[in-house]
Amino acid sequence: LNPPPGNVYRRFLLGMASEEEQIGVEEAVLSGRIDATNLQNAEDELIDDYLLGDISEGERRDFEQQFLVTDERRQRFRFASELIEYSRRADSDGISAIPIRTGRDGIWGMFPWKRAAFLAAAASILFAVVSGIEFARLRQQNQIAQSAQDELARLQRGLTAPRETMSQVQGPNADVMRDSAAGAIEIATNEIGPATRDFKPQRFRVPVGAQVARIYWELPSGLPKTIRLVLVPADGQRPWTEDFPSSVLSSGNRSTFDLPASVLIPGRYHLWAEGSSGGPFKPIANSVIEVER
Amino acid sequence: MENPEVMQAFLLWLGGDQLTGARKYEEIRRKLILLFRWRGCFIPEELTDETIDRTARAVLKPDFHYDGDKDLYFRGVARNVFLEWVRRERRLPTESVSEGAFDLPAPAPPEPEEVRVSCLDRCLNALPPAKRNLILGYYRSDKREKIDGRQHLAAELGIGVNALRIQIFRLRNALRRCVENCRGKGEILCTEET
Repeated sequence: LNPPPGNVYRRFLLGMASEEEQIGVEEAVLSGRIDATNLQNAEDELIDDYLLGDISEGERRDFEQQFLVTDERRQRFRFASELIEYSRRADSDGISAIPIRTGRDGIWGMFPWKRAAFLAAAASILFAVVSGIEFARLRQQNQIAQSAQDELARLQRGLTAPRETMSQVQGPNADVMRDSAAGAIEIATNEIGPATRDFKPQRFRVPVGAQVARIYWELPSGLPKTIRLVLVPADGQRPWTEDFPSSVLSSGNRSTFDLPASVLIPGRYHLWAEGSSGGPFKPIANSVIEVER
Repeated sequence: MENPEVMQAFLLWLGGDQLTGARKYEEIRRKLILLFRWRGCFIPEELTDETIDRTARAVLKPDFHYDGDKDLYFRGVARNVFLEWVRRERRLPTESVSEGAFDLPAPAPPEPEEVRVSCLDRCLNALPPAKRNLILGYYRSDKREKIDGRQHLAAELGIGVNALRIQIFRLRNALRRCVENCRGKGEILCTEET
């Protein structure tokens, strides 16, 4: 079975899809034939078309009444609108570097003698524009270098920051530990139960400037060669996954996983570990955590 | 599903054993949330839980018999739950409420224009120049120039328009997360996820 064509996603999102098309999309999502990316791209495209005016009257009405009804979509709409506005402003300021050409020059075939004069004038304008672009590029590189320096200074401040900036772990089974690496978040999950909404999640607060989240997890003994940690936000968006060789994970049963704190935006996550010794990955354990900032 | 025994039985029905069942449970829950969200539901998690509860109640009845794909069973229940929700939403009273009838908290002050633009500016500058130019080039055309402009961009990169679109959406998501991060914490972290 193939995924539904792109215009079906569009109609589905606008609430205009036929019964058959709706069933097709629903089955494709549940069977895993299409994933979050397909429909999210269709959502972004729809938002762009609305903002650029490339949408029919009926679609416009459904977009406003059926589509733009959730906070998340409204936020993405706002962001797209700002990005388009910024792009056009940058264009008029001569900052953007890739020109858009229409590729039509048929008129010069009618007036060949004008072409040389035009090219001479264009060359001098082009020289001025290129100089301007070069200046903008140098300024931009300077900004990037400054931004890198700022980031370095921020990281250095993080490393020398007092321990009070570290995370506060709350909730059942929580085991707060402080590490020598300042800014690290440390979570201990000592009891793993079935990951359901009835399972009370561990809560923890991510401090400003934290770079690393450290998870201690009591996994069964005799771990396979590779352990895969999978972190899925409750909304199903942007799952994070990473493989760890089991040899570096543990001494005894308690394994240590370090993951970037930046992946832990506030919300509820389902966390599971899978293992493989060369074959397919099989589930080992799972849990639920609640992140606060 | 308050009763742990019911939950255990349901997980067994889903996966054959507890752990596989729990994993399947999470997977189906994640997909149902996405499905409700894409259908424009603003309480997707509630409808998902309702779908799972109903399914559990049905499949744990002694006389229940179903040999088909379990995902499709969930789809059927989810569809009913969604349609019921739509009907409930339509029935809600829509008469106007007189001003001052409730003590509502004052709305948060709007984010200053300079903060919003500054974050976008900083995040765009954190991108490699080629990617920055690419996304700005993509979004600067208006309706009339859109098709020509995007075809030209794709040709310059030696890729098809669809591949260009996918690159742009990936870049744009990274940029959006960077801007959210900047506005929330003042940090610039622009990484493009694959």
